[in-house]
Amino acid sequence: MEHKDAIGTKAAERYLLGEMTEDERAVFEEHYFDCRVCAADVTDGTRLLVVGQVVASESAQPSNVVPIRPSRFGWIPAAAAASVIFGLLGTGAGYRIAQERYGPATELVRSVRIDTGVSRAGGPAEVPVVRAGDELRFDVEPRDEAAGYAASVVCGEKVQSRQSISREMAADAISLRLGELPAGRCELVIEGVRKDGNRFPITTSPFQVGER
Amino acid sequence: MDLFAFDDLYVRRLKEHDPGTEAHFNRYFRAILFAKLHKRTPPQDIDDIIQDVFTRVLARLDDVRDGRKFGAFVLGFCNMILLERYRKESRTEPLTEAHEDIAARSDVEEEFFTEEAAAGVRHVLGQVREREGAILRAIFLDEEDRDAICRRFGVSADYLRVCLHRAKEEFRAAYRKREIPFSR
Repeated sequence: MEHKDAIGTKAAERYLLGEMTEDERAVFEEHYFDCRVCAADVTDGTRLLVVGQVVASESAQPSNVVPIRPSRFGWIPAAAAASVIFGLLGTGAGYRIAQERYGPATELVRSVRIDTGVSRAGGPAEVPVVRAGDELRFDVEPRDEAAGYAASVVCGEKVQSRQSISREMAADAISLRLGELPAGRCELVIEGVRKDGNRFPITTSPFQVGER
Repeated sequence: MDLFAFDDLYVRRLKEHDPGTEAHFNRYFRAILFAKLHKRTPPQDIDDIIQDVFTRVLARLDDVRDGRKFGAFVLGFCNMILLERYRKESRTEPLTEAHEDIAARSDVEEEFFTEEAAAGVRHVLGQVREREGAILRAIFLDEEDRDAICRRFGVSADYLRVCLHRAKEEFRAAYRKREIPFSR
């Protein structure tokens, strides 16, 4: 592949968007590994996508707080940035915002306790089963090197949503309200976030998403 | 990433263990190998594969015939390692669900998560129009395939590419300022 062909066919963008066939990808890779301009295009684009996923899931959070009343679940727009939608409830500012917008939590919200120590203990005795609208309640194990924490819901290989948790909020039990999730096995992943923004794993806790 | 062309001198300096060239080799190829492997290889395998590529390439520098094609030389080792892994895995039993490290991230991916990069992405999302921002978020979150994104926003696949291209250029301008250029 010549460089002008790569530019003319928007090869870097097609590569990043996963639009190429195996053969097209192989041809473009042979080019960009030796083309400084295309290599920069691909690596910058990859960095944009990788970091963009985290930033987009964080910035999408405020508009994705699930209303308390179950009857409203139906009108959560499909365009919501994460296929799972969870609001930070229970403690701190997130709780107060939710209270003001949607009124107090009712008994219709089922709270499911997640043991975040399970991964260190070698596996849970029983994997909890949750449904959309449930709250996951869990504790965050404090780490000195963490400037904050992140709680992610991961189903299959996809990070469905990620929520930032401040050190202050992590001092109390955290509740995450679940939105739509694919049925099957998911995990609640707690990570510490260092001052430089890099993350490190703390706990991984499996749970099962049941059919609605 | 710095703009840089390979040549025989670069390869010779690698053979002579020139610290600056070795540092560049590590930084440059970690990034482009990650770009190749990202989303096509389990995250927990990426670091091992990159390390394997580096080990083999550095042990076979005498085989480089044309320094200008050094990138293709590295790519060849990467493809060979992927093929070896594929053959090895296809001969073994699949891992059970309990053994999957679903949320794992490679070290290289962790390196991508810097405050500067996050600031660059926020800058991009703050610059574009609302609709373009929504399209970019849909691409970033990867929650549906590209055709579905096109249908949802009523745009063509080419528009999606243009959208990503603009975002990439904006991001590059915001992010590159903070990178330290390689000097020879």
